[in-house]
Amino acid sequence: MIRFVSLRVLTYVILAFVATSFAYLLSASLMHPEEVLYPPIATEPVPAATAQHYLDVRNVNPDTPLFERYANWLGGLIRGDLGVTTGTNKSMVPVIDELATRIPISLRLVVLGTAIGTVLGIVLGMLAAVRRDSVGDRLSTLLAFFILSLPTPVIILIVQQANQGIMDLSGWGLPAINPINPLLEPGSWESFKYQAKALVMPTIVLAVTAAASYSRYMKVTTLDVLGSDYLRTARAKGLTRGRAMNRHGLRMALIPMGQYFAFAVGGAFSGSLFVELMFNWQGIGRFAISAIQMADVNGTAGVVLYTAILTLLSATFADILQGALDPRIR
Amino acid sequence: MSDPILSVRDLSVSFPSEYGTVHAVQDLSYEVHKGEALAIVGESGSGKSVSSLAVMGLLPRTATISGEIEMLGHRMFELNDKQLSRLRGNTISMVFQDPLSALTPVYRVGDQIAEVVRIHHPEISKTRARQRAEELLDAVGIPEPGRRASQYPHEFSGGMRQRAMIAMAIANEPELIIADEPTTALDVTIQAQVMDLLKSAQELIGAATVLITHDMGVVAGFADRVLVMKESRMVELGTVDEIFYSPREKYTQDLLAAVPRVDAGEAGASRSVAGSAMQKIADLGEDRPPREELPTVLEVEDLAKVFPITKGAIVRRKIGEQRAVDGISFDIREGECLALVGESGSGKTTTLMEIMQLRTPQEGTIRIGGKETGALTRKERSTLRSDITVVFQDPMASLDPRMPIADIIKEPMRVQGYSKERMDERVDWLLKMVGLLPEHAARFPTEFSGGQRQRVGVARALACDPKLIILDEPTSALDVTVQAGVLAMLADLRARLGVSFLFVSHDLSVVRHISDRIAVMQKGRIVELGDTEEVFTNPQHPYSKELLSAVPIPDPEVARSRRREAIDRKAFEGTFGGFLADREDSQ
Amino acid sequence: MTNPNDIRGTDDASALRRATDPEANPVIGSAVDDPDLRDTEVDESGPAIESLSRGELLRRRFLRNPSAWIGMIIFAALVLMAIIGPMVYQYGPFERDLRNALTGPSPYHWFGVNENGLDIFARTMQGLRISLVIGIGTAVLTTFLALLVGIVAGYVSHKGKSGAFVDGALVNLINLFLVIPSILLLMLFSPALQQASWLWMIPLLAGFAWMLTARVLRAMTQQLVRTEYVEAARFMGVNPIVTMTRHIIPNIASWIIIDTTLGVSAAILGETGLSFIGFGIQYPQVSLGTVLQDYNISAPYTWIPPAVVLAALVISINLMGEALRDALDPTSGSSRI
Repeated sequence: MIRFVSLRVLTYVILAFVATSFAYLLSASLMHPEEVLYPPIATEPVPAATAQHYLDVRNVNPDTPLFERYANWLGGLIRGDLGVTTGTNKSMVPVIDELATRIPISLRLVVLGTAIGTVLGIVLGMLAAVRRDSVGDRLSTLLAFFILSLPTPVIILIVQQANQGIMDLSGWGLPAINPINPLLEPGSWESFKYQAKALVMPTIVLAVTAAASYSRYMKVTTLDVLGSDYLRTARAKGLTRGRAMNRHGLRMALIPMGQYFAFAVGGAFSGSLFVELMFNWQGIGRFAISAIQMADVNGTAGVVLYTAILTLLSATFADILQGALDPRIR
Repeated sequence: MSDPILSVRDLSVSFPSEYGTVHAVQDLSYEVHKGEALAIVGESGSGKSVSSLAVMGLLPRTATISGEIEMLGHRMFELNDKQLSRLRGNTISMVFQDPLSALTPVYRVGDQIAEVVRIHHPEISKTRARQRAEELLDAVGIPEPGRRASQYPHEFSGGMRQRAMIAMAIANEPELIIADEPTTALDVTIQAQVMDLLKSAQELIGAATVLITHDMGVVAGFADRVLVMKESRMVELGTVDEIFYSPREKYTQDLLAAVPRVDAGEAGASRSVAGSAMQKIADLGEDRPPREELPTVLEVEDLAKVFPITKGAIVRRKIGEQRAVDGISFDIREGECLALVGESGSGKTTTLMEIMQLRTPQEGTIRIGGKETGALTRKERSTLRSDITVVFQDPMASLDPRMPIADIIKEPMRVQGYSKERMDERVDWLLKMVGLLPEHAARFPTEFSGGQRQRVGVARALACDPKLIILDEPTSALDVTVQAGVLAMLADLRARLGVSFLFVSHDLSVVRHISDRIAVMQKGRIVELGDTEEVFTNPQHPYSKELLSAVPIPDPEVARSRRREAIDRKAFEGTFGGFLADREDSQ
Repeated sequence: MTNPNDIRGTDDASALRRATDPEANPVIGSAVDDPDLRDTEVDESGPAIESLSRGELLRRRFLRNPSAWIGMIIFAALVLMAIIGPMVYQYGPFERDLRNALTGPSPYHWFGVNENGLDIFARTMQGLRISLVIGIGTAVLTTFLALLVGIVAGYVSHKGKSGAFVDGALVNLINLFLVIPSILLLMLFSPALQQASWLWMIPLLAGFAWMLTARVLRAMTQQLVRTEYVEAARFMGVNPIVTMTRHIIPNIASWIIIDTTLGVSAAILGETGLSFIGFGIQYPQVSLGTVLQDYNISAPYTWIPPAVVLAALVISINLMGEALRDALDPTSGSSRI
């Protein structure tokens, strides 16, 4: 078991490293930081020497060979330094700092949304399979079908519009933008209440999309389990339908879900990108959008590193779970 | 006779399907009395399994059931799932066909056995139930029960899993055990052991048993009464002696005649269909020149194939090796049939694969028509592919379901560059040769039954006039009556076309009449190689003897005389004789 | 694409297992075994219930399914709208009518006008055209890429050490693409390619969408390679490429068709998402994503019409895809208890 997991973790670390390097090389060769050097309102051209210095300090000078820049970046990576942001502002914010302030904001979204969505999806999917063709099954299957047919922005718009409608009618509603109210004193009860309320709508969006796809998947695996010989044996031993399903079926149905979970967190990132954009959260997603728009090579690589680590952590978690559930792979 | 434990009256089961209602069982009535063993015999699709699932109340919800099943005064169809589950595992228990999938893979075997005790006796503590599971494992003949109980099903062999299933079935001393094809997936020696175990377990706890099987041989030594089913209806019901010695119905007679027998000495004396067809070949063989004068078709010398057993996923290091094939030698002459017989894991399939690769084997040499396979050029190898062909085990899997029969048969000819006219001509001829009609050429494999599909497979193997056909268990996936027909056809083809066969089988009784010589394989070695008659009448190696004695014989008297006590009575009674005795009293 | 909205990922190779399992699938399922075969004569009429060809049976099952009809009707209506709408409508997608900015639906502006004075109906129709072209083009290209990688990887994985190496490399490539959210990569590439032509969106989206399909196709091919009929072909000396085209692709064709159908909707969702955050289709073209971008919560008509059209499009395609899947595999998950 420990061997199995440690081996998987090693492959994941290698995969994360390759992915990030790949992203760095890609963004370094595709982006043109020199074009967005200074605000476009600058009246006169920047002196060549100043521009060169500016680009060199940030390790984004296109005149420096790509692999030299990559080697510099790699050296920094080993020291735990991801370089500094580039773009229209002249301040050199270390990417690490930028990530450190934004990750907690994004992570609470992704973790909460995924957790609620997974649990909800698994429960709904299993119930739908066990009570096949019942009203509940048809309803949840249909709902999942519609949700999966809508793009995330449209789901967000529906939720926001609903909130707006309630607000117009009753005068009470959830905050539609910003995760934190800057007017409230940080750490106070009011501020905490605001944060919790602000979290509701984004979490609903992420949880609903995750639950829809999990429930479909769970339904398929549960139906497979329902047709299995061992479940028939369990019933022949004297377990009722329900107890046989709980004792023998559930665990078997969860095993294939593990692999699905590993890669669905990547999907949750894409989802959070829209959420952060439309709810105006200053998280990683927004940072990613602006970093790419402003040709911020180091920032982009930093975001990819974050997502890679996130995916790999969840894959490891899925592996551990799978190892615990299934003695055959230990 | 005492009152019946189980009585089934006018049972009919049907399922809705794409093509209308499928009647799986129609008007079936039978009774099982205390301590009695009833066998329900039928070929695939005869409804025998469905009828037993109906008794257990385990049919899918889509099934429409009518009739009545009464079990110890309970009318089964009037009980709900909860009431039924009190009977299941306690009063009736079941042993399923495929022990690989019938045990939950993620729980320890011991816990799964303990579970069945605890479900019906919640007052027993976990540790005691676990202890009981170990005793039961011991009773069914699993060595080191303590260690084995904490292993998972995938660590058990097929025979051991089935033993564990039996342990589970007898744990609560049920009144009735239903065994649904309990030995179909097992090797013949294991099959004999499991059947002995089942029989002695039944006698030990005095339970009535319903054995569902397609194999008349298994029935002979086990059952008191036999019920024959065909196409969802009962054909005949009688005592085992009546059915075997004086069957009334034609179908029962056919069923019995189709069973290949190892004990029938002379082919002429056998009632077997296959045997009588084979008789012709025996006559033809009279004027064949002696073996030594015939040219050699295939020669295998010191062939070995070793699979390394590796450990460690980052740095693979070899910790041992498995000698799947361990230095075997044999040759096949023109027009000869060599049977390669062995149980699963004996290396038969690996040998076949090594020959069919037409490459240099890992160790040893393979010569086809005198040419060494390793020294072939690409072109020669491609030509040689038409000389040596193969018929696979599963006729469903070996024909591409998306291709019409004609295309399937043409495929090897197309590789060899036959002209279109010649191919069409040959397809007609080949279809006739294997007993199908030329009109069938445009149909798809799914439109044919198993036996017909296997005939198509043979036609494909014959397409380019091969010198040698390798038959990889060609009949093991077929029903007995169909199997006999295919065997007869193969024998006929050999006589008419003079092609050589390498017949691979796990079943000695099948090869008896078709092969000239037999090679018995065990653990990668040929332990005995000799003329068929010699091997059958006077086996030299202990393993050959064991194989021969394990083949079920469809003759109740002979079979009964071969039975052995297989359950450990002491272990079964164990420390729990107490609670089980109490239970007896309370009833 | 690691898109949570991807409706496809839910069935894996288990679909194939069921599709080829004779017990589970009456389409391929064996005819009732005929024990009377000893008298080598075959009943002329054959087992009657199997005389329908597989394709015919699939077609019947598909057409019997109401959701197939609903899907086809909606889809046909949308395609017609996309073709005819811009022809007959008086406003173009970039004509500004600033006087009527932010007004609701009216006889002149059917869906209303947004903040920038752009007519929403004109933009929605234009966006529908683009989204349709991109969706279908991407799905076809994705399937092609996935077929290439999946079948090659699946086929060579059993062919000795070098085969296993190639397979391993391809699998790791797939995993690599799954580790980086593809939306980030799309955002990286999109601006550079957009300058050339909006049609670049098709290869771009396809380039990051083939992985999941390839994975499933690889697993399916591996299963098929192990079947005896492929082995039989090998023993007959049939060339590997012929084996792939004659034996493997026809046997997974129905799955491929389903996946391509659902791939259309996945591609549309991907494209609109990307356009929505400003990295997809840009001026001088419009996609449904760009139309949605101009949403205004206080004026619901700015986003509801394009959202409804988009949802109808994706739902109609998914309905057809699901109906196809049901036709192929009607007993999926038939339960024993």
